[in-house]
Amino acid sequence: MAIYSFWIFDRHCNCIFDREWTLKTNPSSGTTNSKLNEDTAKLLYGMIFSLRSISQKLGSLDSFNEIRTIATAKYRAHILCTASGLWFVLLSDLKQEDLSQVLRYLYSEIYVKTVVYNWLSPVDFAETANEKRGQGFRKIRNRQFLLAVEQFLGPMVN
Amino acid sequence: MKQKIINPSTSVNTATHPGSTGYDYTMGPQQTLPDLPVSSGTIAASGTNGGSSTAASAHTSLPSVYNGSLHPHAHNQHVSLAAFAFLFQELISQARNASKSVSEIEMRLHRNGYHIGIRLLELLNFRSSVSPGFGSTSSSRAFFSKTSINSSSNTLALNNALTTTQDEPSLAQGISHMKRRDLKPVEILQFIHSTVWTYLFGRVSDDLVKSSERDNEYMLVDSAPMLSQFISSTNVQCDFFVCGIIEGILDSASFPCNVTIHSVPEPNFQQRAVFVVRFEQQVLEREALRA
Amino acid sequence: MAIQTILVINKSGGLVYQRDFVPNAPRLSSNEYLILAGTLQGIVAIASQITPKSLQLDGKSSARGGSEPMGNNSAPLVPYMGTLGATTANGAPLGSFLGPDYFNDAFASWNGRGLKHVTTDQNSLFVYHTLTGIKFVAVSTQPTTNAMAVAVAENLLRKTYCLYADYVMKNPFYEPEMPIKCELFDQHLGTLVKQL
Repeated sequence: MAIYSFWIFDRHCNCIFDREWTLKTNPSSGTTNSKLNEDTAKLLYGMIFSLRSISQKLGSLDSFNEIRTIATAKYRAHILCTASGLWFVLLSDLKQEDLSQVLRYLYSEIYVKTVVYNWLSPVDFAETANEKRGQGFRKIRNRQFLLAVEQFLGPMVN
Repeated sequence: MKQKIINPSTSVNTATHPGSTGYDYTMGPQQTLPDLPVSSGTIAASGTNGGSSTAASAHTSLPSVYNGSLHPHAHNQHVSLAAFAFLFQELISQARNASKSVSEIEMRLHRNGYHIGIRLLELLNFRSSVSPGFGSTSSSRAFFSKTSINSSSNTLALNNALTTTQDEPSLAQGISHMKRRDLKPVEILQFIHSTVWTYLFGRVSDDLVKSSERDNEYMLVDSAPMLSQFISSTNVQCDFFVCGIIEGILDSASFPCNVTIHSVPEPNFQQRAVFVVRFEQQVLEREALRA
Repeated sequence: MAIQTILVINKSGGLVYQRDFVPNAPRLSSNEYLILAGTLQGIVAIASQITPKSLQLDGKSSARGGSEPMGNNSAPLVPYMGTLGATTANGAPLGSFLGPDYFNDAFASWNGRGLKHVTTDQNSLFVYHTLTGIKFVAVSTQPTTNAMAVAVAENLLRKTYCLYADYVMKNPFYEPEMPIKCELFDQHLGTLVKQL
């Protein structure tokens, strides 16, 4: 099992959390909420956004056709879109065929419990109008959340 | 005997299907030229000697091209179907660019085929004259064959040809009597139905029928025409090329006629084509006098 | 799993062929399909840009090691699947490739880094690249991430490519890069998909 990175996007198209592991052998390697990953985040968002619009056209009209995974020859991206417009994205190797359970756990057990229930943490990370549409810079810096993510995803890295 | 195959730089897994035959879509064209021995002096010598037995040694002289193609069992006379398809495609587009109407395109194709036909009659008649057991034992194969030659067998064939120049008798000795000229319309049509079709397409044509309505009409049926198999049906009948070949053969055998094609689709053979041969009145008159 | 739609996208991102195989396929306007093709063309390039860092590091180190000539760019071989699409029902060959089936080995995909496969709640979408930049896209009616299903789709699209080579490229009346209107291609593709 190998996962490469984990991303959260909010409904303003901003990346509000990113965590990338650079060494498969070391779960504590890599970057969290790094400035260097801004461009990658935008590309990833763009790709998912486009494929989402394609899938919605391809699906039948009466139900919603949400995107689940995207695979290239090298990696697979697993996507969970919540009703509130949040996207949880996990990049893994090709052997992981479906990580939707993991994403659901990250959402319901970690994000909801450490960010939403936490009265001191903002839920909407865009505070002004010009922090929308990918211009946002605020990230989840909540220690409890970071710790929980590390504990949960760390063992899956290698 | 393993031949070096020219691969495009992009092919990755050439090693995974070594035993496969035929054209490989994933690899592109393969080299089918043999590794001729590189000895500059003798090649020049054999060039002037024309492949006669006086060439330096059998091992280094080139085989005579002329001998090879006249031989009835010229077993390496293959053309890649794909390569021919592209050539044919170019022929058609050229005819198309130069023409103003559909019938003009067909006429041009017809004319191209006609010139092949008049030459083909000579060659095939000569080949049928050579007694069957002469020379190589392998059966003759189609000109437009699906199997491109295995490169190693090609080398073998050429090596055979190399030795032929010295050890085996010349082609003329294989001819005890020349084939008689076909005199009846049915005979020459049989010749086209079997010999010509086998030479061109590797099989005999599917049927040869006489028209019940008109005396001078015969029909050659091909349920899957080889040349136009990739061409979706359009207004233009590309098989007019084959019509031209047939008409060329018949004309130069003194059976003046007019050949047209009609596509008659059947459930299993969507591209079934019927070549209608309509002899001129003089052929029938001659036939009546002979009988 | 059935094939819902097959698309062919030319090397400049234009849609040249689109065909539905199930009766209840969603009706997209031709304009929407054109946009879809253009979008896919862009995504294919983007997808290779966001290859994770740890994979990029892996690729560099193995390329330096020199053990593998292609570095980490060579994707694993796609296994060969069955005798799909060798002949039509009455035994006539489907294309000019040799029977019983010419392709009976695993093959390397030319798609080293780009987009390959997308699943949604209702569909799967498979992409097959050729070296010349043509993309063959199949949309199936069920989501699947099963490696077997992906391999079957890859085989199917490769066969489609063969048919394209035979019945489109060898047709003198086809203008390159233009929409494909070849009866024989339609017909043989139909037979191929029916065999699934």
